[in-house]
Amino acid sequence: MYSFISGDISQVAGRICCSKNKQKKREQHSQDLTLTTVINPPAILHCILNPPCTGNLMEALQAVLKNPPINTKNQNVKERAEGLVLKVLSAFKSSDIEKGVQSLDKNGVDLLMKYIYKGFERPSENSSAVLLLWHEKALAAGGVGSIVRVLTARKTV
Amino acid sequence: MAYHSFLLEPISCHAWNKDRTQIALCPNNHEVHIYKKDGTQWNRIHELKEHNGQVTGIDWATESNRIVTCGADRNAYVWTLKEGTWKPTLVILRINRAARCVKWSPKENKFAVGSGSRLISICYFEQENDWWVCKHIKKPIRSTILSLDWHPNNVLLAAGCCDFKCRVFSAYIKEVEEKPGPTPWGSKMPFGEMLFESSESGAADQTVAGAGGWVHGVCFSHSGNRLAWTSHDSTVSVAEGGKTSTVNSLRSETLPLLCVTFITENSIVAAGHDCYPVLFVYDGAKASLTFGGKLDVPKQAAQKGISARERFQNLDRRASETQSTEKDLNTLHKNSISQISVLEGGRNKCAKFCTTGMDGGMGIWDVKSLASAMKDLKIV
Repeated sequence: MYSFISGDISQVAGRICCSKNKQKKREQHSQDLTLTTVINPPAILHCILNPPCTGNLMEALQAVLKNPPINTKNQNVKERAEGLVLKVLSAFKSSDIEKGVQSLDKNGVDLLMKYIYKGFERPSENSSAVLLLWHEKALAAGGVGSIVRVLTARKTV
Repeated sequence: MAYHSFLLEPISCHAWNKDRTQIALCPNNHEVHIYKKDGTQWNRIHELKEHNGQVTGIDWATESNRIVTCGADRNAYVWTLKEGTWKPTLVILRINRAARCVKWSPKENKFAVGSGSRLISICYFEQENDWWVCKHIKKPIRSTILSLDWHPNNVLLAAGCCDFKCRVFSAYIKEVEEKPGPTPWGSKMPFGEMLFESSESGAADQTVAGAGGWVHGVCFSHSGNRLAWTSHDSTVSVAEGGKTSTVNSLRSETLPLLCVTFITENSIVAAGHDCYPVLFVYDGAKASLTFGGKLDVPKQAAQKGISARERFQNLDRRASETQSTEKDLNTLHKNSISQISVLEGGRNKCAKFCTTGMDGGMGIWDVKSLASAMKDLKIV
């Protein structure tokens, strides 16, 4: 099930980046198709929220932080990626958050911080609480420097 | 560690004389004050008033005893000591924005000024006209030059710029010097040639950092083969001449660092908005940069007991029971450190270095006592 995530995002990102030269309409259409058919939200959500699947959450975190849509100017791709990341972050139990952060390397922590702040920009009912928990752990791992890098980054996630 | 508070205003810039008995500094206004050390006191002996705008850079040529200052009024003055007073000579820089930083070259026959007009002015003295002449390095600088440093061979110049890059240029002036020999940075060095440019952080390659912020401080090592720079995205990077691919950056966990210097060939001390100097160690063989430690006065011992009344008062005011706030007040400097300079030992075997900051104070740090005070600090 989780090979879905690791394979697809890189494919999707690749496809979007390569289709920069095609017409905008075709690009939009193909991108919608790939995103909706390939990613299949309900199946993933179902698996994430079921207790036996918690072991795979670490992998899900690693996978969802791979190949972030930094270079594309397409807002949709960025939003979908942000949505996915948020889902994975919310699926973690509070006690597991620290382990999740420890499993990331320095780049991963910086990237996680970028997603956290992106998530802060558009709060939904529960997202801020979860994000704040993640923020605290990520801050302990990355220090103030990681926040400075979010602020000074020229290519946003 | 000695700390002397000169003023309540920030010290914009400072420079030491040859025997380190006098310091020239700018107290955040149009003047330059020279203080002389008398025992433990610092007395102001000279005031240099000529600039019409804030003095942004001072450098003291130790051998020839001349001071060059540059300011926000787009001018630079070279001061020479005649009969006990400092007399200025105007240098026309031909810039239309403020000058930001100035440095004498190692042989002191020319100096470089970085400015907001997106160029570097290299000025040298022309004997026939008895006048300071300047040449410009313009391409491919796209923004303000924040910091400069000369290579020991008197020709290469490193510049840190607000367009997020650190570059090495050749400032070879054929009127005042011979052709330089080849260096690891390059062998053909006509004036204005760019020999090195730090790359943008790669698109897919996220491991290359150090390109996301303004380059605040640059420094060549003693041999000139290594170049370190600090950037506003809280990274420190080191590049080695000749190996363009090995730019090693360390994403630090501190606030951005504003100034940097080598204290040995492998150790770098940097300081910035976190108000304390930090040590980094560069391993040439593994080409890696690691965090060495925080260099500062050791934390004071635990405070005396707090009465119950104080506890509730603190809860009311600060939402925490303890008196002290965790951050910051334990450092020597109480505000950001803006400049760091080596006092003794050169960049090879620095024994003492000095930091000045926005709190108007100057701290003198002794490397040996720092190394012994912090047990796991290794200065290679």
